[in-house]
Amino acid sequence: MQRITDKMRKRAEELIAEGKAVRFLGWEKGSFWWQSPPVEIKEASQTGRLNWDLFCTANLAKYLQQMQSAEGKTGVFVKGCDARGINRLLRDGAIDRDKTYLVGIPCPGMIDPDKVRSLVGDGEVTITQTEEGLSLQGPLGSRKVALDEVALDKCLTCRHPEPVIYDELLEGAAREAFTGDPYEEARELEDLGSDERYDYWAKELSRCIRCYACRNVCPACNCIQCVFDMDRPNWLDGATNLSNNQVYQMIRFMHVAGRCIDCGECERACPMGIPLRKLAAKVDKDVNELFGPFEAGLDPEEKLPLGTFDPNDPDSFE
Amino acid sequence: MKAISKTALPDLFAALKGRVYVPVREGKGFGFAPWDGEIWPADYQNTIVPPKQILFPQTEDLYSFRMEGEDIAIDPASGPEEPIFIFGLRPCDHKGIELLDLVFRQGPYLDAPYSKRRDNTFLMVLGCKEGLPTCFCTSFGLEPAFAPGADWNMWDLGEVLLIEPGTAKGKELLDGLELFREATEEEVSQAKKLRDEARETITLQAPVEGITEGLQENFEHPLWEEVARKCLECGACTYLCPTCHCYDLQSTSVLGQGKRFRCWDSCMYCNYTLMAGGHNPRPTKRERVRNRFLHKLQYFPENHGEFGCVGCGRCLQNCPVHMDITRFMAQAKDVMAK
Repeated sequence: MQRITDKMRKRAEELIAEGKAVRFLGWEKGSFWWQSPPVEIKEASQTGRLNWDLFCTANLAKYLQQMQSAEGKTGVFVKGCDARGINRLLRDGAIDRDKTYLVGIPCPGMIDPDKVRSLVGDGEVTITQTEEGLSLQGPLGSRKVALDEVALDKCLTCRHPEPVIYDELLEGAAREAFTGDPYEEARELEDLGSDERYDYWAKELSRCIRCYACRNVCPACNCIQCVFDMDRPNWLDGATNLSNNQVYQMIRFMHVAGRCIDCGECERACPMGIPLRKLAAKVDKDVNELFGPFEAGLDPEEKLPLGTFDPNDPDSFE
Repeated sequence: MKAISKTALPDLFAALKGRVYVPVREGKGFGFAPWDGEIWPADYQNTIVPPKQILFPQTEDLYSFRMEGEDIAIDPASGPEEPIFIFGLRPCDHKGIELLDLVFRQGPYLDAPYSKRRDNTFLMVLGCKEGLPTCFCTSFGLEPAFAPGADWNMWDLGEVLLIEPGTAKGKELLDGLELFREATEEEVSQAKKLRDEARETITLQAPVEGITEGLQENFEHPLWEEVARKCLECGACTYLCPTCHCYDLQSTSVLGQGKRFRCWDSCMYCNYTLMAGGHNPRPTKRERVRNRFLHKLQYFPENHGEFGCVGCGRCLQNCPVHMDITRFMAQAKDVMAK
């Protein structure tokens, strides 16, 4: 970790000095052990703030949208999911490749703080990497675990921990890419009867407070103006109730169908603990079954299943 | 001071004449839900959504209307409501409700739905034994295990809860029910110990000294731009804040009938204070983020003589990009001193 942190700081400093990037997006250590929030570095002298550890979860791709109007290139450190987010934004025409400089970092997977808390408590927690895995110390004691025991669920099923687009790649070990069934949970829900499935989502979505954290953190939600922010016409009023919450989530997931890169940020950002990745997986499964195998965000020029006309597309209205 | 065995809590809830809210497991944390005779109060620290949503629901109908020939008939939405008992709210959330009272229940204009509900609300505060790492209530002069002015303050001693009334109606309720016994001297000193020790567990501090005056001088400081860059403009911090109270008035109508309602609004949203004609006095993220911090740390003190933050730490815990108001305050004081 420290080796990668040092390398990040050095490269950011060099690239800013060489004029290859005017600013850099990365992560810094936050106020607590479980936080490594995004940071924008604007001068070579600030690169010491950059930090790489197992909490650099936030997807940085989205920030590039607000950099578009700024002068010069923006450097960005990208994990596998950040890189797919970049491809998403490039494919959607939301950012300019010539204004970015991408430094890839092979991703070992990130930690779910709640999993650590359940093992060693919260407060004074230290996590050190050992040859076998991680050594956790907290108020409830010490534990030695493999990273996967405390990794975020989204990282356990990550199919591309290695960045898929970059200008240069830092040396490091990525986790093994997931090759299992990405739709296991979607299938489990499909197997429920329609009433049971409705009840399941009714219970989950009735908790939604419509804070829009899921939308605002999503690299596929890159519209300049969102339909849910419009008041004329007012497509959806502000009342939180099951019907409105369902409409919100369904429209959002249909809108990112075939474009979702499965970075899982929606689920991580949701304060109410709604299992949004299951909705994403169901939509992605349908796209794959209807329009052939497709993974979004692997190529900046990818042909989008729902954005490309093909005379052989299934036509269930026949 | 009185005592009640925890096993007798269902008897207490059943004896209360009204709707009783208790903390329960919800999603990945806790929330308040009406006690239904079955659920048992959870051993929790802070709920994800504060109990403000009981007194100030996220969505609330105000009146309905319908066309009757040439006329419009209007029916107010709220009928008589039953008394509300909130069991086990924490001192920071109690303070949050007192701050909402300053906004909704004071001055020439009373907020009718809030006031009506609040007049009929009984607050049973449970002292924290231990703060979360994100708690900083003591910075705002609060105590984690005592809420001045609460109807009841309660302390969890393991098998029993100790109860001390803080208002006339709190004493009346305590004296009126035959579920309690006098607390022993030993128990009273245990509660005092819990209260003293709880204070020591709050380790996070926010630098409040002089922050209001400093911010008053720095409305156009470049720091605002820098702080705002990281914000994603979601409403998690505002919706989960026990003192945020902005709402929007909206209506829906179909086929000659409809309703007027209010729903929470957030100063983080791009259409917040957007005016007819398209003007927005807070056109970018910079103004919106500034508004949120200034409302807590400058406008609230100016208008009401108190900070609009109670140090519950929900915004720190739930921000997707870990914006931290205590760090902001330290950063602001640092740059303002230069």
